[in-house]
Amino acid sequence: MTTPAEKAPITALIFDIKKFAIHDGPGIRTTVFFKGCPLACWWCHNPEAMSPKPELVLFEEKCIGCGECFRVCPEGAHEKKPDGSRVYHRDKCVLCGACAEVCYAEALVMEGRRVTVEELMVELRKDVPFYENSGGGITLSGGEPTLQHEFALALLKQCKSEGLHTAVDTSGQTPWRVFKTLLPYIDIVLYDVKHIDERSHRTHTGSHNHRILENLQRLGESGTPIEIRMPVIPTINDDGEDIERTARLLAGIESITRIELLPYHKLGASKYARLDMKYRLAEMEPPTAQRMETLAGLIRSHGLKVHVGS
Amino acid sequence: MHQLDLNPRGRSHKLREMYWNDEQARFRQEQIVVGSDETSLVGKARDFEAVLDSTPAAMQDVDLLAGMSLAIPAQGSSIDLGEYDGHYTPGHANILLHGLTGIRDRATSKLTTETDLEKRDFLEAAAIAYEAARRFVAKHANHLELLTATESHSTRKQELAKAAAACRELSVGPATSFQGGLQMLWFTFLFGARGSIGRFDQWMYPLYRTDLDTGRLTKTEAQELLENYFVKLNYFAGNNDSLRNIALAGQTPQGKDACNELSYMCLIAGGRLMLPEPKLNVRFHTGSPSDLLELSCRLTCKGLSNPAYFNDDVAIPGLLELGIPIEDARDYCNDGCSELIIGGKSTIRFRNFDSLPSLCETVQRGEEESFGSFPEVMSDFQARLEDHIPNEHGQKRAVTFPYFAASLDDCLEEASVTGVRYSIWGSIPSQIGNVADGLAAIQRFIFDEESLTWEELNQALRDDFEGHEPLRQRILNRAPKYGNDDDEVDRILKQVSEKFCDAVHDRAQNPVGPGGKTAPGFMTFGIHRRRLLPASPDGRKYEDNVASSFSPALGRDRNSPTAVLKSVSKVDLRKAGHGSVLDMAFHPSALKGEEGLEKFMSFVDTFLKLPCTTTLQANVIDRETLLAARENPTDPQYRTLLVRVWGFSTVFVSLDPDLQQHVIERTEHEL
Repeated sequence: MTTPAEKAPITALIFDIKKFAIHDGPGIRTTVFFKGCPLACWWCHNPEAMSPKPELVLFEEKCIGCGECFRVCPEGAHEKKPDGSRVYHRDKCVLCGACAEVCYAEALVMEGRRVTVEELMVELRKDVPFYENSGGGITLSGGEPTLQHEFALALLKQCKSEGLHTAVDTSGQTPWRVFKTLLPYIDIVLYDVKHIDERSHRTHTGSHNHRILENLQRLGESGTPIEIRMPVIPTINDDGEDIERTARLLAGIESITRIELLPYHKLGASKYARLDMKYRLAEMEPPTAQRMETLAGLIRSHGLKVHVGS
Repeated sequence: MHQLDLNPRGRSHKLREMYWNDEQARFRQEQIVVGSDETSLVGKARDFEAVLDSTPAAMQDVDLLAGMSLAIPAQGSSIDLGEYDGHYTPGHANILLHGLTGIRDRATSKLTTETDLEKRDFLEAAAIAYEAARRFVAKHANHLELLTATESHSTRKQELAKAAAACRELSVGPATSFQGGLQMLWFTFLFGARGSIGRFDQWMYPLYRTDLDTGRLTKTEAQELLENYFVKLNYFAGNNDSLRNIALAGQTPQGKDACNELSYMCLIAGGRLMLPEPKLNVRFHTGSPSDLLELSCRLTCKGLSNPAYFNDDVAIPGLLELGIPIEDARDYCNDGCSELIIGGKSTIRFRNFDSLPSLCETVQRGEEESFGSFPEVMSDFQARLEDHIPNEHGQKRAVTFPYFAASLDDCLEEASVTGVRYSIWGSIPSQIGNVADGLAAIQRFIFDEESLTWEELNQALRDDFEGHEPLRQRILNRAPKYGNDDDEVDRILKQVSEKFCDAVHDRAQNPVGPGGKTAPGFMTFGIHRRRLLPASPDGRKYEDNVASSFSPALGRDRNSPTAVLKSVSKVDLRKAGHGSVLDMAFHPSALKGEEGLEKFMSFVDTFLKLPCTTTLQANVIDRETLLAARENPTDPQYRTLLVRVWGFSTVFVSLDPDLQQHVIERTEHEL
């Protein structure tokens, strides 16, 4: 029989830790990217964040042709063609990571690794002098950090016990009871509002927006400071009327500190290919600066503070 | 908030345009100047006099400061002006305080009692040089008075009258006005005393204050004059490695905060003009006002790649360690580069050497005899590194250009070319970042993992890693690298650098007070050395760039700029009294807007508080660099180039081609 003290420590699957994160909340921060997301937005720039499982990524341009991957793969997932080219059979791969382990050139990389709270804290504590001088701290992002909510709670608790400022960057697509348990340990919520229209939201993110909008209202009632993040995707969610509706909704929530309007970019297009995923917005062009300003003005007219990102 | 835009209708803008159009070039006239043909100092002073006498007075339109260029001795001239090294500063403070006549008269009065022939030579030379300089200034006063008389335009007439008065003032005594002070500094520059400039805001402030208090000058007029002087400092700068450095703010010799209105005005001038010269360097200490940091960061964010940030809390202890008394240590500035000097009181000579060959020798010995443990490797390398350190503190260095020498403390009082109070000799190991990475790879693979033999490593180095690419990739990606806040390698860096500094001090036995000093430091450009250095155990191939100064090896700091500072901060660089430099590159998009500014400010603030090196040079990368990065994405120097995309910053070369193009185009708008 095991006592709680002997229980294996809780872990999370993350895919990145980014230091000097200067656009993920106040000050200089360290952002932890959790793997797995309930949404599948067409414009997502972190497609490696979608799957809740580790994935193997191939950067062909980095391959030095040492052939170690062919040798170590127990499943024959890496095949060398007679013409010297290579094929990665994702269907055969069991994600054992043996190939990535011997790929010194980092052409084969495992996206996603398991970490304990303490392992993560060792990294997060490193930039404490910067948090202190800038009013920064830790941001949980992803993917959707609340999907791994037990871990998120433990991490947030630990951060708060060490006096670190915490932010959670969320899609809002999570049960309210989860938010409720996390909220006492969150200093600011970075909350995505992707589309006010239910049908379009479903089409372009793969999920309805009922719970997202409902959670936003409840969050507002809790009084926790909220920064709204709105991606602006031309023709998909930049309709003036929709933006107007969104602004009306947001204007009723007092704890919103500001709205960050993020113009669409093609970042991540190359990542889709590496993951054998289809990028649906290959032809999409970013909105003009003028368009961004028009939309920002529309929202500002509701008395909201707007910042246009780049 | 300070206005950093240049008024397109203002004088500064016009002068700047005239400079870009190279209008100053027409004043550079070649002519035969017949020298004295004497090797004595007096002979050099006579030659100086001959050049000055051959130069006609000159004043260009728009300009408020007189003097354009000395006559260029044509072929057939026999001119020997004596020598100095542009890295240290002339005694600007003495020249301003005593004036040309004051220094001349001091030399003359000392001559009445001096009997030593060598000293008499020095004093006579000083008297001749300063009288020649005075006559040159008086010639300009006459010329300007004539121009004033014939000028029909009333505004220009007034300007010319003021310029004439400033020259007249200098021909009879020390500068008594701000304009006179600037004119004196500009003439000194023209005379060929073109060292670093030094603590401009300190010795110019009393003149500025008096002018403002007496209503002789408005702040706007002072700013215009200052910008006028700054534009002129760009003349004839050649390849831009021109050593024209100004140090601002910091502390007074008594330890009080030295920041004043002029410190800000210099930064504003720099931010408005956006010219290569002068290079601005701001000294910070715990008592520096926060708006000084803000204005400095504004310039960096604007893309000036200027100022450099100096940390008094690292620099001053380093100078004390050399035996320099606290009052002089607090009065430090930087030379033509980032070496610490005491302006007007010291000469400097940096002596740098490659440290990668020493590491390669250690690796060879590993193959021949093997080492029992990693600490043995460290000792062997350390001993080889220390072979480069001289066993003496060095002598005082001669300055034989009479005008320059007589301005220095304490050359005139001692009537000697070697009378300068301090002569600092740098002892500078280059490529320390590559060394730390190389040693870390040896520790991990040969000792901890036992997955590599000395023979394999040596063979790979001999083959320049040809045929050993998997090993090279393993070294590059599986061994810890300096600049990532990784204790394993940072400990090695700390040990190597601190022991090196201690060894320099041990061997030099620098005297307390005046004298020659050998000083440990970390500042070197990496670019020139790459073709001279063989492949190294950090995975660097022959011809690959090497780390500059105290910066991590190029492209190996893959984590974040904060991790770089954390790594650096583990080393006690207060031991390195010659100075230590960290270079960092940012893309303008990462520093965009008021928010970007705020975050950059707290970044620099943390740099100062941790503390790290004496100097931070933060570069904002321009479009050309991005284009080059796109062409050479695997080049280590581009691997960590940060750009802001979407809601975050990321590494430029990791973006797909379309986005790179996007960022390149967007940058044009931002810069």
